[in-house]
Amino acid sequence: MFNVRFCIYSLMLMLVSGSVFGQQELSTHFMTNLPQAQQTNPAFMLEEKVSIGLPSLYMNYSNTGFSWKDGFRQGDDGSMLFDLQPIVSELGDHEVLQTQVQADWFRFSFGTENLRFNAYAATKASAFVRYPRQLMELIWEGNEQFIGETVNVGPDFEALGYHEFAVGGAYKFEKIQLGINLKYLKGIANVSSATHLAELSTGTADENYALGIETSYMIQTAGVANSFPNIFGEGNTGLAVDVGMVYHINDKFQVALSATDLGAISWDSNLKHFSSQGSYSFDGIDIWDNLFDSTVTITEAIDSLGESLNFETTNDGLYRSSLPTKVYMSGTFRPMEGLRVNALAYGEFYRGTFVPALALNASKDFGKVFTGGVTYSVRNRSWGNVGIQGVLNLGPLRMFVMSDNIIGLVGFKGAKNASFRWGMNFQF
Amino acid sequence: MNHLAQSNLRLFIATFIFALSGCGLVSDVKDLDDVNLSPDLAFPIVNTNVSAADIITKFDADGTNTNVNGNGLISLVYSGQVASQSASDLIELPSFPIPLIDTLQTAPYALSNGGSLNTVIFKEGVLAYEISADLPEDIEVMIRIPNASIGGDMFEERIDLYYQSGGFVSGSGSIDVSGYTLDLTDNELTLSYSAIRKNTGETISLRPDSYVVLQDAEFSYIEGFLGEYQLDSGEDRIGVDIFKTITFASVYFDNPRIDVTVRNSFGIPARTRFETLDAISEDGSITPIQSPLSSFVSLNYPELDEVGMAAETMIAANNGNSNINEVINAAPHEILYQLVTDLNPDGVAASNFATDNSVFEVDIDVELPLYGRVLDVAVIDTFPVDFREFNTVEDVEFLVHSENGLPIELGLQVYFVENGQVVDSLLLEEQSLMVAAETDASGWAVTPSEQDLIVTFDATRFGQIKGVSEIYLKTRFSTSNQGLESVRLRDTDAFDVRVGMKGKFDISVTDLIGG
Repeated sequence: MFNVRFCIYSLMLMLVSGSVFGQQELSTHFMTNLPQAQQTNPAFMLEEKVSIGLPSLYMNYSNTGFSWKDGFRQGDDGSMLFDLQPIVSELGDHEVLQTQVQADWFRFSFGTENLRFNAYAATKASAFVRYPRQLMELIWEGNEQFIGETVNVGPDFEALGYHEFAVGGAYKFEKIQLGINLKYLKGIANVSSATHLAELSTGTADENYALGIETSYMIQTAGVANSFPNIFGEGNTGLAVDVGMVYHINDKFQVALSATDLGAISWDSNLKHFSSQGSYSFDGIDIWDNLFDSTVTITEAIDSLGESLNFETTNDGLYRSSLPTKVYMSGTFRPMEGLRVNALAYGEFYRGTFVPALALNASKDFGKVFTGGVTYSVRNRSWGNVGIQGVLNLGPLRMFVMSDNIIGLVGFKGAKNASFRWGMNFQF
Repeated sequence: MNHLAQSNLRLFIATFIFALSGCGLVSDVKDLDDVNLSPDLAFPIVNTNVSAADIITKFDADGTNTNVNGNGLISLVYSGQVASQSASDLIELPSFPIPLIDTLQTAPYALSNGGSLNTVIFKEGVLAYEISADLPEDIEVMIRIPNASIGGDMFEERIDLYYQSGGFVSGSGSIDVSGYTLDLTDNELTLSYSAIRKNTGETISLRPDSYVVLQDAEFSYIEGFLGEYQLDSGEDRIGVDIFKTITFASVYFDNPRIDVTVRNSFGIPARTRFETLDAISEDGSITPIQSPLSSFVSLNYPELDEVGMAAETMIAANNGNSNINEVINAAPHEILYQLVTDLNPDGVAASNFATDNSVFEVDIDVELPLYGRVLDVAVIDTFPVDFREFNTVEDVEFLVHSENGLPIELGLQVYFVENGQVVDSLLLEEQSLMVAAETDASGWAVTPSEQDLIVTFDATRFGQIKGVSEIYLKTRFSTSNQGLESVRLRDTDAFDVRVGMKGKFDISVTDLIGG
């Protein structure tokens, strides 16, 4: 089953497929004239009384460590190589690799100037891997550099799929807008590391370079072990909430603050967990008894050390997985009618990781037909992210497309970040 | 992960691969043949702790040739049973017909070697008889041996003969004498008989050709002057295996010895000596061993009140009373011996005894305490290896760390052999792998030594040995101070050898994951 290509494809799955926590969707936050912006701050209110969102798609990819082109390159003889050696030393202590796909099935909103009701349904899939640099160093450069040290090479990961059914509303009084979305979550599948301790120690020369492995690694799965993921099966449900506020300082300035995806899914159906637990060591073969008798095989002894990593099934207990919590803190300046300048500080909290981003955006209404915007953002130690947003207004029909990193989208192989959202709404 | 989960995973992956096909990512993967890694790895290879007892076990797997005294000093002991003689095989009771010529008569009953008997307790045996009378009728005969009794009852047996035909009555048979005690005076057995006609009770005489004979007699106890005997072990050999296993330049045992142990449960004075006691070297040369047993040595024997007990006599040949030092340190492969033992050597009549369990046994132990000096003792062995599993190695460095608690320095050289030809050696020249431990004035190891040895193989050199199938391991050891000092070897003295390896490997991921 396992060959190089399969492994690469699996890596691609991690890179591009599914939904990735840490979606870091920035551009949507600036498009407050679209109902999609409400998922970044439920306090955002449309000017139109009614809005019907048609199915739309969002995809996001982010890798703090390296781009596709960093790994795949052509060798001197023209052959395709996969080699991360040149970039391993440039990695941070931990790098995060994540992707997300979100399909909005419908989005409905109605209300008045001061009161708004919203509802939508979406399916989200994501994948997240947080890997230590030492894992890459170990694979590409070996353990000699770690003589006398213990390194943790266990990645933390989660792959998740779920449906989201939300109802919400917003209320405006005087200068303040408050909004909330209540979301019912229906889990499809989950594969995640509950614990991810995998330490490899290499002894000093005095210790004969003795190898030790200590693992406390548990992989929890729901919805994949015993059957194809049942999209509408029993169990695996959860709740989440989005909260937000907008404060209009004056006609030109406003600030907004929101927190979204505060919630979790309880996985209780179609469960199967795997665990590797224990400490194993190898400090050399006692060859005395074999000295005069038989062939000495070293790799047999080392292979047995690797066999100690075998995962065993464990009790299939219930577990919860939290959604990534996102915080948006933004300010908007309207120097003139139809022009908006936005600044955003974004942070995402997920599985012990905090991922920040900063963005500056300028959006302009070109008459009533087109709204365009440009966003510059800094994220994931990536400084050259230029995004674009465009909304085409054809009467009540709004067609939109946006990306947080258009350069990354076009030159995907060389990008560490890329996102894309498109869709259509009827707003009237 | 089970098959169904794997299938789901494949489907999941396939879906997104299809979605991504337009990005050109899949084409990159398709063009990829393999992923090659060149990591620098460090890992242990060997971690061995070997004690002196372990080493000795290689030469004496079942421990029969090893002895450890109270101080832990190891001795190699090579043993042989020189002689073993049982009384029942040595002494044969007389067996001869006694004609019944008179109703009361005596017959001599003595040993064939001139020994005289006072008492015999029969363990087995029968008194066979052939009796006839010139009467054509039934008769009754009583046989009595007044000096034979059992439980206080004199030997008296009635024999009924029944006339058949021919004008005379006759009969034969045997009477079991097991358990009877025969007390003899002047080596004479007293026998009487009486015969009567059954019909009338008239006393009759037997025909002169009637007789009795003690047959198949074996004793459980015998007492008297049992005569003179000479026991000869014949020529035999004891192998000294240690000298067959090792080749050497010089080995010197400081206190070798040959112990002769005699266990005598015969109540008979005895003396013994070696008719032959020679050391035979590998080349067949013979060196006589001069020892106290080169001339007769009197042996202990049990007294009359020590029946059933064995008296032990130990005679040692050591540095003080023999040339054993010179002989052993010539590395003999065998000890040739012939032991002669005289029982009643003076020929003077005395009270001897023997039981059916009496034995005369002589054991020889050639003992080599591991106390001495060794210079350039070589142990050579060949064993198969397979370096194909190291096919991905480019450059390697072996770190050999030794901690030596033996008072022995070990030199090492390893030859890599392919098709009988030496391809390379581990070291440029034979090197000291382990320095001898420090010793005290008595030769006991007191302070272990440590040593590190680094051996490097670059890619070219390692490539030359990848195909070898054998390693020719030559170890050479000497005691402290280049073999000039005598040392003592404890069973607990030990050395540690650890070998670690650092190297650059060229690894194919396809080969690694087997797919």
